Amino acid sequence: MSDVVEKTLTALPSLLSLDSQSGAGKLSSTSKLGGLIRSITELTSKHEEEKLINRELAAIKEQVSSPNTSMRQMKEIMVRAIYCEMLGYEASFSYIHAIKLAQQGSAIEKRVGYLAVSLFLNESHDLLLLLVNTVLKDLQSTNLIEVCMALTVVSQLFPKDMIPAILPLVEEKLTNPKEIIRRKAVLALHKFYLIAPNQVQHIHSKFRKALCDKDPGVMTASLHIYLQLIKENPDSYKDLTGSFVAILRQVVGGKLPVDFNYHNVPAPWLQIQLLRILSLLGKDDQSTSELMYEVLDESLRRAEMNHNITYAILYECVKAIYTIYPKSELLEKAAKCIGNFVVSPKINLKYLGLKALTYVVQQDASLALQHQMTIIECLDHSDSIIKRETLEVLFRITNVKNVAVIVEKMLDFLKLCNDDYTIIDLVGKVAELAEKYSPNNEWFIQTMNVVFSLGGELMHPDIPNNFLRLLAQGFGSEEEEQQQLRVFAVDSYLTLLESDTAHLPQRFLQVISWALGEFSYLKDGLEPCKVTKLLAKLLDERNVTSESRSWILSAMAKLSAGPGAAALALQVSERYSSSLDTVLRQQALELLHLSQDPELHARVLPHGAAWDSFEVDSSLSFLDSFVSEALSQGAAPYKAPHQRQEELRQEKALSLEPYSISLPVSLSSCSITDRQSPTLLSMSSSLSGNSNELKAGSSTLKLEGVKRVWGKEGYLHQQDAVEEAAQVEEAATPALPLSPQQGGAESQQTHGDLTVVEQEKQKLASSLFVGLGSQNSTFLMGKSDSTSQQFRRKTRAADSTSSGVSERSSSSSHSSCSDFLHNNLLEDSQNSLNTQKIGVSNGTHEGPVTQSFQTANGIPEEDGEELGNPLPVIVDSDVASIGTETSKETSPFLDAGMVLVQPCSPQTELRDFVQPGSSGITQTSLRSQFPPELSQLPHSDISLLSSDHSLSLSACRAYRDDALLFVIILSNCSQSSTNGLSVQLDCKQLKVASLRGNALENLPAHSMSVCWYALLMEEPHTQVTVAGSVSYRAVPGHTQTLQFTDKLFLTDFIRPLTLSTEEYGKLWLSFSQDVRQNLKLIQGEGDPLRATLSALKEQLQLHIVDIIGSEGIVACRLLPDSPCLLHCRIHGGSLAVWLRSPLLSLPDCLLYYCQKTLEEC
Amino acid sequence: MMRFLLLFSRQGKLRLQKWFTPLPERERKKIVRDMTTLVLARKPRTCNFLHWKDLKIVYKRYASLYFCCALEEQENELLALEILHRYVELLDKYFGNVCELDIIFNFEKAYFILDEFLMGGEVQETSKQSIANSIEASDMLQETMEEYMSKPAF
Repeated sequence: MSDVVEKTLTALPSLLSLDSQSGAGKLSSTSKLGGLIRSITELTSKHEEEKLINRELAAIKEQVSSPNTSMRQMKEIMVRAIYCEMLGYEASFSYIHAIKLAQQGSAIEKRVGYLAVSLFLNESHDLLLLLVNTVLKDLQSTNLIEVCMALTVVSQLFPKDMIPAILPLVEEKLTNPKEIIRRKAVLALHKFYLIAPNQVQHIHSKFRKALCDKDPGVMTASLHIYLQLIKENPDSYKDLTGSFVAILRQVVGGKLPVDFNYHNVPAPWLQIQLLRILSLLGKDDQSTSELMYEVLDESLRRAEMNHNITYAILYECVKAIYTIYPKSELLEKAAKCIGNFVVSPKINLKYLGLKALTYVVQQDASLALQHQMTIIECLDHSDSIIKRETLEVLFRITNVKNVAVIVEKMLDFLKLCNDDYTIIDLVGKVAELAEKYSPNNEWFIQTMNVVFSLGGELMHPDIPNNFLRLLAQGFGSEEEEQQQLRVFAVDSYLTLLESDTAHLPQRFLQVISWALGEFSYLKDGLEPCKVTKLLAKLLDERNVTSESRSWILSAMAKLSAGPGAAALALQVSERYSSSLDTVLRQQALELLHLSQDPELHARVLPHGAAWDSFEVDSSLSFLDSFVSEALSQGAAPYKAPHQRQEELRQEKALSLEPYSISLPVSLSSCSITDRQSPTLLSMSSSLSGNSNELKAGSSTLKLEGVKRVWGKEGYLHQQDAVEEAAQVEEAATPALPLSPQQGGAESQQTHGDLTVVEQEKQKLASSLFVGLGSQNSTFLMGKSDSTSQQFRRKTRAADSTSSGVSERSSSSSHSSCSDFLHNNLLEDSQNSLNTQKIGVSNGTHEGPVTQSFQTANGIPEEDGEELGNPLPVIVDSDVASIGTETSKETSPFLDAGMVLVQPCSPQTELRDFVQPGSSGITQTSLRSQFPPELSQLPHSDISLLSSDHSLSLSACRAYRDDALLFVIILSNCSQSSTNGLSVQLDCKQLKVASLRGNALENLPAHSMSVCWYALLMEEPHTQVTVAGSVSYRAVPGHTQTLQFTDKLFLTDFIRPLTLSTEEYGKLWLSFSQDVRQNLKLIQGEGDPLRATLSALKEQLQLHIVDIIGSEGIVACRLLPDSPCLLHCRIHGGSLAVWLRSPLLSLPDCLLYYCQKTLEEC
Repeated sequence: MMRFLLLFSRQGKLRLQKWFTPLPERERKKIVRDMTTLVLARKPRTCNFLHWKDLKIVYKRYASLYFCCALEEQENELLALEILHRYVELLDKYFGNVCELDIIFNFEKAYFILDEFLMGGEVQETSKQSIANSIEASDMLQETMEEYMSKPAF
């Protein structure tokens, strides 16, 4: 039959020319669908429409279930059913018939059937399984159109677990003579790659063939896959750079058939795809980037026509130029191009220009300076999307000096915004800026007040948490500063509470009550009973949630000691001691006790106690006697719910066959929550009333364990860029120069002939773009700013030190502030004054700053930060909190994982291998530098990471049983010694569980030092990139930075797991994540199973538990302790592997390496 | 990658929907509602781009019909605008001076054309001629099959 069709198809073009507009003009006005549509348009109300459609659906239902309906009628019915569904009415009864139509209909009917299926069904729909056979059949059809339809539906929706069934057929289509089929097959494989990457891993070579396809369409399609692959792993495809460049050159040169032109531009889609790929390949890679400079230049030049599509290409070009290793000539051209975008009268181009600016200003802030007037105009644009984009640019260029103006602009926008997503995003950004660059305490508190009121319940819980932590631990190291901040906070909160509180969000109320409870004693002359009264008033408000009430009650408990407060406390506690909410009741009773017993109160809630004076006994050891007593009386030992559940599962599992399919119950997730709850419960009950932790532990807003991330580093300010430092004062005045008199008076001298409006804009510009000017030269060279590196390396505390210092500078000049307002811009002497102050603040960084942190759950921690000492230990704050988390679990290696920096004596032979140019790094000589505990470990080859004229970095991986050690060898190859050396390593995907950096004061000439990080992989990744930097001072006062990156693979973190067969069996049943795949078997002498398994064992550090007949069981663990079990069986010439693990993606990742290993064997 | 493509009228009536990633029914309905309200509320002479959650929305009005698509973060907005335009050109070529009514009454054809143009959220074929050819080929099959079936069997 399909043969007939194909024949008629070839014979038909002549026939068709008679009816050239086959589909056009036919409005099928006589069809039933036409009737339906017409009658719907005649209706007047939604209700009538509903009635009509329901009638229609009933008719359809009757027709589809009638056995007499032909497939042709069915096709027409399906179209109507689709229409009804599009109007929002459900026609689920027709789904099965859609599948039937796709299965049984002829080609035309099939097409509608497939369309209906792809519109009706979801990827997880059960009925989809019925489609698999149809697709299989159609893929094998000799009819071109049927094959096309099958490929289309496959890329639209296909059940993930059925992909292996059709994969061979789709692969086969890659060699089909028809290019349309090849193209669709490539795109279908792209889709498969997206939803199940490890299924298509073995056909990478075929992708390469598709890339070389003689049909440009197929080649274009294959680029989608390459873009994805290169995004994940650019290093493996560097060799293709030349080919991509060649393709792009041909496209740009107009070598493709005219068919591919779009509005006279040669293959724009292809161009853009290639530009994206090139920018990924050239990122941070000078030699690769050099290959593409020429073609990028060519693309920029060619894309001159005034059409949207050329602008799209230009935009992509600019992005590529700024992503790859910089070349100043191209950067200039790209910057010019962005300029054209930004000033364009076309609003879409303006938008894109701003987007490009956002991308670019991170590297070259001067560009924002060039376009400052445009940015100011866009800030007042009538289109809020443009405004939003402009704020994004401003966010990236914020520094200490312009923060006030920029934050105010952002808050203005927020006040008018009603999109939740935008609010969450912007509020987070404002909070980040405020914390990072706050000019003074008062401003900070006021800004955060607005943030809390606007952000409401939407904002990220980290914001209030961080804020409270900041209040508690202080902004800087200065006690005075800290107290000032708190007093400001208390003051402003009291004012807020005295006015109407109904509109304040709950989160804000919680922050307010905590701060008042904690710090109101700091304010002189403030009666605690006044605060208590205000709080009590708040407590009675109708719209206050019980969570907030519990915060308020704990605040009252803290304040209940003062005279007069006791009576009020009594009153409140009486009311709430009968509350139905148990938490509130408990707190009310605590309040009662505390208010009546001043001694107890003083002991439990001392004023202003140091943060580390509280210790939480998280093991609840004080209950030991009680427990042992209960046990001796025959009580059953306590088991956590997850333990009980697991036991239950195991009992059940006994009745099952050992390797039967277990449904992927999300055990891991449910046990996690279960694991949490008991500890939480016991925590809050044990804590209640006996410590400050009450406020954190008892309510859901937990401070413990929250990572202290102060936002990603955005634009980092430079303290030495003090060109217009005097404007700090101006920026600090929150009232923006929108009052024309003031603005006019100030700028009269400089811009005498400008209109008032322009003057305002000028003024705004000068306050927005202050502090950007002097940096462009360093940025253009592609170096990151050297001074800001200091900040980046340092912990938050150091960061806040800087702001603390600058605060001091501004507050010390507070008295003369009013004078500044009138002559600030012109006073040169003032500038120099500020320069001095900032000089002081720089000095502070270098001096020893010691700070002790204490995490919120009360475990004291001494993390010293002494930059000046020779063997310092720096712990970043978030690492500190990680450390606390792990110390609660079992992590003996934390103690062992200290960073040691060992300076070595100068050696003559060093000069030979540390020269960056000379490739011969003598491994042995490097290895000889290893301290004994390292040299005994197995480790990888030492490779050169990065180097410059004075320092060279090498690294290797050492495999310790409990961690992967990333060993960095620093060698000073210059003639002079380097100072202030400091290493920083950064990887979000790994747990850098040991200490993270070190600063060696001096590394003498021609000497080297070795340090290492212990790394753990908690979340499986096939590979991760670690990036880091070493900063040092070769010349006094000038800090240089050497960046490096390296790749670590999953296999680096895999260790054998030794267990017995019985233990294996037990574990096997308890894991929920499993994956199965057939792998290649190594055919060698002897038993192929043994040979294959031992090959895997060698390469991947697995442990072979047992081999019985044709089956083998193998176990390993991912550091720190995530097991993965493999069950291998010979099955028809291949190795059927079944992996199980408690971690979601571990089996997938491990399988990838098994596959790779066996392919390579 | 494009996440979805919607066509709706000035009155907010949905005319065509294509989802390139699986979404539950309820989510789809919410998106359609959000998109129509967002896009219809835009004033004239504003830009054709919007933000919605983490997606970029690109829309364009052709006569009484709005074409609206959602892109992932790294995609190029201008290019998407041209994708929409190319789709309109394709419809125009097929129907001949296309209008909203063509799409209402022959929406399945509009889907077929879209399937030839985009696949899995990526542009599959950019040549107007090739797409027209393959659509014609399928249509032709339709005509001939109908004729073939209606012929008396010998």
